[in-house]
Amino acid sequence: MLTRSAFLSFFTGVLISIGTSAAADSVASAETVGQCMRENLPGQGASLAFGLRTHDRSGAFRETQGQAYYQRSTDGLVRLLLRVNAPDDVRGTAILLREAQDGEDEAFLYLPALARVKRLAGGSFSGPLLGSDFSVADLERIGGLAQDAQVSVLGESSFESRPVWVVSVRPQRSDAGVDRLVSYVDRETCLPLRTEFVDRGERVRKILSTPASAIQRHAGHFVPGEMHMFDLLAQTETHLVIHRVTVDPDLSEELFRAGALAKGEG
Amino acid sequence: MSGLPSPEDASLPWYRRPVVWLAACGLLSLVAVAGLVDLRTGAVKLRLEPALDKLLPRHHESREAYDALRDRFGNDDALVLVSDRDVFADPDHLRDLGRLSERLASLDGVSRVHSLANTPALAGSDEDVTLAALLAEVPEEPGELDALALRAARHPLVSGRLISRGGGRAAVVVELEAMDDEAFLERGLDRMVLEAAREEIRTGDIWLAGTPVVKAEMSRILVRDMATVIPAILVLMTVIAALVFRSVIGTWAPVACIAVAELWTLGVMGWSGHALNVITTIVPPLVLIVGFAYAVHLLSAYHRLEATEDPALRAWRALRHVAFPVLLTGVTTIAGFLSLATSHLEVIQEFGRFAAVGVAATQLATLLFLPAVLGLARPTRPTARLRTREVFDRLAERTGRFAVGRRRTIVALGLVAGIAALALATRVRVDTEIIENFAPEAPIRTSYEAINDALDGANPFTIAIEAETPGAFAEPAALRELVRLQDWLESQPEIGGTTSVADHVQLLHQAFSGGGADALRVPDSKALVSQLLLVGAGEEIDRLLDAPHTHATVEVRSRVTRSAALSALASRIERRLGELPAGFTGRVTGNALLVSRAADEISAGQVRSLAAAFVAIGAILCAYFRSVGIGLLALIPNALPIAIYFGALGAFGITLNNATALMGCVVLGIAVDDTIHFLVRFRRGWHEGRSAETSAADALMAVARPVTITTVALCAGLLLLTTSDLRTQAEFGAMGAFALAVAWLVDVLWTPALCASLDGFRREPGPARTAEPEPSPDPLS
Repeated sequence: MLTRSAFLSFFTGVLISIGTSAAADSVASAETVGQCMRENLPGQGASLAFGLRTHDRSGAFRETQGQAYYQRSTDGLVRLLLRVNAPDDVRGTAILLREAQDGEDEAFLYLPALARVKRLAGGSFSGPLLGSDFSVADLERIGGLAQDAQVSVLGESSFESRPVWVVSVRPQRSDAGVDRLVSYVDRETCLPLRTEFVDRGERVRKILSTPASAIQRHAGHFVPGEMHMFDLLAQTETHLVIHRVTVDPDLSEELFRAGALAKGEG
Repeated sequence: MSGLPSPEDASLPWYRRPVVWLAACGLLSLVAVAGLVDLRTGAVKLRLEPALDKLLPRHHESREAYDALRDRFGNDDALVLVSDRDVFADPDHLRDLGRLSERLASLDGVSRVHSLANTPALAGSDEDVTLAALLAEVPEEPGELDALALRAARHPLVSGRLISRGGGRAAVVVELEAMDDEAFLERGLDRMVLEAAREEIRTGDIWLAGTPVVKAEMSRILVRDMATVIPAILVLMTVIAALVFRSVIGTWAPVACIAVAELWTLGVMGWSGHALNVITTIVPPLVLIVGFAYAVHLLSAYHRLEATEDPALRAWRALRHVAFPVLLTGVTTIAGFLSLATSHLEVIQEFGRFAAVGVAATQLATLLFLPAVLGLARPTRPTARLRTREVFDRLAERTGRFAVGRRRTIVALGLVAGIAALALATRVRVDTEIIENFAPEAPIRTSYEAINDALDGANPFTIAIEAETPGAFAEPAALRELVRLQDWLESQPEIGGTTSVADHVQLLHQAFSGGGADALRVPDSKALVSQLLLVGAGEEIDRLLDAPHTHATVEVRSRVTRSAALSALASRIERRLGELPAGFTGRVTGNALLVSRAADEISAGQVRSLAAAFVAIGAILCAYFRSVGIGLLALIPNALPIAIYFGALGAFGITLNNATALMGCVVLGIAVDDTIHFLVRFRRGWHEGRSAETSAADALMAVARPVTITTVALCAGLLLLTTSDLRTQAEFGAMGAFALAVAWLVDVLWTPALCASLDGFRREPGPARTAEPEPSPDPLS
């Protein structure tokens, strides 16, 4: 079931990534790191273009490109729209996630070939996101780095020659697949440069990495230009490229209405 | 024989230094131990690797196709766990299943787990689509339970795969991380899975199957066999030696000799980095059995010599008596084993090489270690002539008379038996039973059979289909072709069910089209297929379709357990794959199929190896006897037991499998030894001008006892293998003993009868070429 925090986390996960340049205190605490990361989130919304390159274990790949829109409405509820632009066969496919007041979050899917909007019923949207190695659940867990209370700072270290906080977080909803995350949060940008998804058997199942060299700065926020998710068990990986980031754009409420999913096609 | 050194003895003073030779053997043994054990850590370096799939050469096309499949779609090794209780009878049963699925997923070495607990329902209505797991919420009411059971039974990806057809037996499919068999065995993953299942599902039977389980169990049995059979052979040989030689030194010295030879052989294996596999595990017991015969020859010579005050001199003389025949028979046995090197299967080549090394080691131990041990023995009184020897002599004399007197009948009967055996041999089938290799009551076999009955089949394999055009499998036409192929596959009696990406696309189409039954079909538009694959992608589809949608697989669940049936099915499928539209090619592969093909390759390749063995041994015999005629004559008595061996396989319905197929070369290599002993004697008498009849009777008289003793030892040793829980090992022992017994019968009856018939072929009477060196007389006579 998608939850309120899931929405926040989701967007934090996808966009993470937009961080302030606020200098972090060198005295690390969970609150310090969490604060640093929370301040990464845009206030009202954001939009960005993304490209997903999903490699199977043989190295062959497929690519998907699209646009993501995030909005926090006046009542504080979060909405997220992912719309696919390419390739042509899947152009117009859209996923809408809407946070609800009663906690019963909603997810809608639009397939242009059927010209129908379908509500995803009966639970979580934990499968692969657009066929990639990312799942909503993964992104939710990454988002937990900024929001979960169960964050603990394991220490300070360096990663790719950059000083980092080593953070461990136990997601609110852990399962056998992912029990906790270990993340190396860049002290300068507050972006997690590497996040390991650890299962109950203490195995690292997935690794999400953000090359420091690809970090860009937009309107005072740091943006990871690339993210790589490796599924160590499946031996697959997905490269996510983020570009054309706009922080707090003027997004219409209409954009996040289920019935309007078809209108954005094309 | 005098107790004093003769001038010939004195010319080789090295025999007087048995301690030096023993020290040399000790050094060799230390080197062997260093090959077997890491001296720093104490870890055993000689590994056991029971993987049958690795029996195929690395560059074999079946192996390459399988490796390519695994590279693209991952490890296809999976365990299937089934509980025999009705999972829909009680909500607690469903909760147990969910808990078990989660627990198994967290096991180290487990990649993914599939069960009702995490399989998407993929249902839809006009408004909604449900992607949640079938068991996302456990129903509590009986009506809800029934509804869930109905949904599961109607779910094409669940029924027969995760739930028994027409029943409520639930399965958990446990996919494994890529790991070799050794790692699987070390972790004991099958036992961990069973333990978890027994703790979570507390009632009813639990069955576990899967190729990794079979291989692990086979490995455990092989280790157990080695741990029991080898000591048992040593005990048996001790008993035989005690009965034959009736002395302390005669009892333990040959056993110590073969133990040392065994150590050297295993040391060579260890140094070479070889890992014992299902074929080469036969080498250690074989070395003990074959080596004992050589040691017996030397001990017999030693015991027959007059005891002297100088044990070293006595040992040297015994050695001088047996060195040549032991070397000659050893060379022919080695040739028999090395003929296996003609196989293009690396594992058979290894078996041949290491068996040859083992024979060489036994010879070295017999000619080096044993004389040294005997040289250090205390002087003993002359051995009394045993009553058994007299009994043997009388029997040999009567047998010789019988064989010579009725030679035509015996030769004719032998030929008739040979022809009949050849006719029966045509009924031999090349077939390796993988599951039937275990005892009928073995849990692994009963589990496998139960799962085979409960689900669509416990023996899965894969069809890999490649399209020339990238993205071809997003085309509706290609998916419909997959559906047609699946329909055809499921019409085959051996196949219980199949799964392909087309099944997923149809289900997704149905779910997104409102859930109507008529929508359970491949969509008409490529765009819709692509969109369904985009939003429905997941682990299940990733195993069936690659990222660019160019390679697809069809998972086939079959019920066949025998290699021949599986190969026949695969051939039929390959023919059907030939009918795929232009631009698509397919082939059958998978772990189970590879195992079957490996076993069949081993069996089928033995005809070539056996022919090579005949040629090699024939050439050695012709060279030794300096006569093509006698060389070939020596081969005939050995062709007969081999013909009878294969005839017996046909008559008793024993298949030519990876163990029984090896026996042809093994029997030829061993049995020819006795023939050589006989022919050496016969030829000497014949060349000295005696009649063929007399020469044959005398030769039999001379060799009957040693040939019988060594045959009894060989057969008894091989019969110990029948205690194995693996049918192929037991058959190897039983049929080997049978073949050697037949070879013995041929050597004491048919060979003398055949040789007694040779008078008409004598070119000129009188002594033959005197310049020709004669082998030493057989010391056992």
